[in-house]
Amino acid sequence: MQLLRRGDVGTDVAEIRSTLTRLGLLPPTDPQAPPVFDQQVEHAVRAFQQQRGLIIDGIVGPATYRALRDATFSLGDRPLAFLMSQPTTGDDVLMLQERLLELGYDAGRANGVFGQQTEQALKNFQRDYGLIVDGMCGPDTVRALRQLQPKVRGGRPVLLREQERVRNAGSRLSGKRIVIDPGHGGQDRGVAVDGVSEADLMLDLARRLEGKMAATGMEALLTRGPNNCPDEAERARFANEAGADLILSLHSDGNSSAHAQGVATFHYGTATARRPPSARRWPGSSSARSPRARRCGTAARTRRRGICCGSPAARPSVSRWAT
Amino acid sequence: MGYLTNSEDRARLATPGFRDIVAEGILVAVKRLYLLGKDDQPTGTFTFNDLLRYEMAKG
Repeated sequence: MQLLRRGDVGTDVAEIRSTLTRLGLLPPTDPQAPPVFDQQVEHAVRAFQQQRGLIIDGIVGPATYRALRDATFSLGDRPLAFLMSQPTTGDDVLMLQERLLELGYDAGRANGVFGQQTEQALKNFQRDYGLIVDGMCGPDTVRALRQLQPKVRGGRPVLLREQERVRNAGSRLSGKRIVIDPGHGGQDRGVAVDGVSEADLMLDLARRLEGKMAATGMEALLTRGPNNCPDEAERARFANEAGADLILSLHSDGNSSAHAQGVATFHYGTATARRPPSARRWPGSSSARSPRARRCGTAARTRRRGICCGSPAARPSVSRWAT
Repeated sequence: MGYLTNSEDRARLATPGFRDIVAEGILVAVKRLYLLGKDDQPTGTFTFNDLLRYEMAKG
């Protein structure tokens, strides 16, 4: 899709404005006013990106646009089911997955995408609760989930399952399949300064890493060569289809200040803990859930090092590390 | 990793030997992820050779 930024005008901007207004990030404006992406809208977009754990640039690209759409849905707003051709995404799906996980059903990673595993977990819940087992989240299922709400809640089921998966994989590196994803590529050079480009550096680093991994008996796969630049979705699909244990996405950065330096690591998950309480309210309950401790809260933070959480909406469904 | 707009970072990353060190660092980090805190060593002391020895011993 086309990127929308400050100064843009049109129906897409009108849609973004109305969504931001609905989310309470933009004061209601005259609907007759021309839809302009002004400074106020940019500020609201930045606030929204901050809430969702997206990259904060004030520009509406594919990830932010999808997150904006997702944010408008709350559980019970619409019936949910598994659609093979185009899986449903939204905050309502995320709430359903979180509830199923809290109740002990393996809905996979709570990523806001209604996939096959979500359907299976929902069917298991329906069977156990004596509902019609159709894999559809309609009014009856929502009511049943709501009835259980005060009784079963909390815990960190996703983290437990993740840790178990890592433990089951064993400590030996040999036999593990790792996807290495050097950023950018082809025409897209990434950050380039003085003839040094991110695309070339990261590809070279990826190849060095691939060689060292091969020496330990790991199977390393690269998402790209020197001349192509698959988009984010293609890279994620490649890793998912390869059944990778891990994907490492390698990037360099640039900044308007020459003093900025150092390394940052992002990993998948726990963006829901950063969401404001209002967005996390369960339908029918009067109080918001207390924000959980952030998984990255214990990570060492120094001037030159950091570990941050990514947003499930913006990340592919495999563990993703960017360094 | 690194800011290409920073001259120190840029010079480091442009050095092939440094990229080798980074690659080893990433590999050790992956290994330590799977160690789950068992047989682990303090950050900065686990080397590529340690890792290879460990893999051979457990193989």
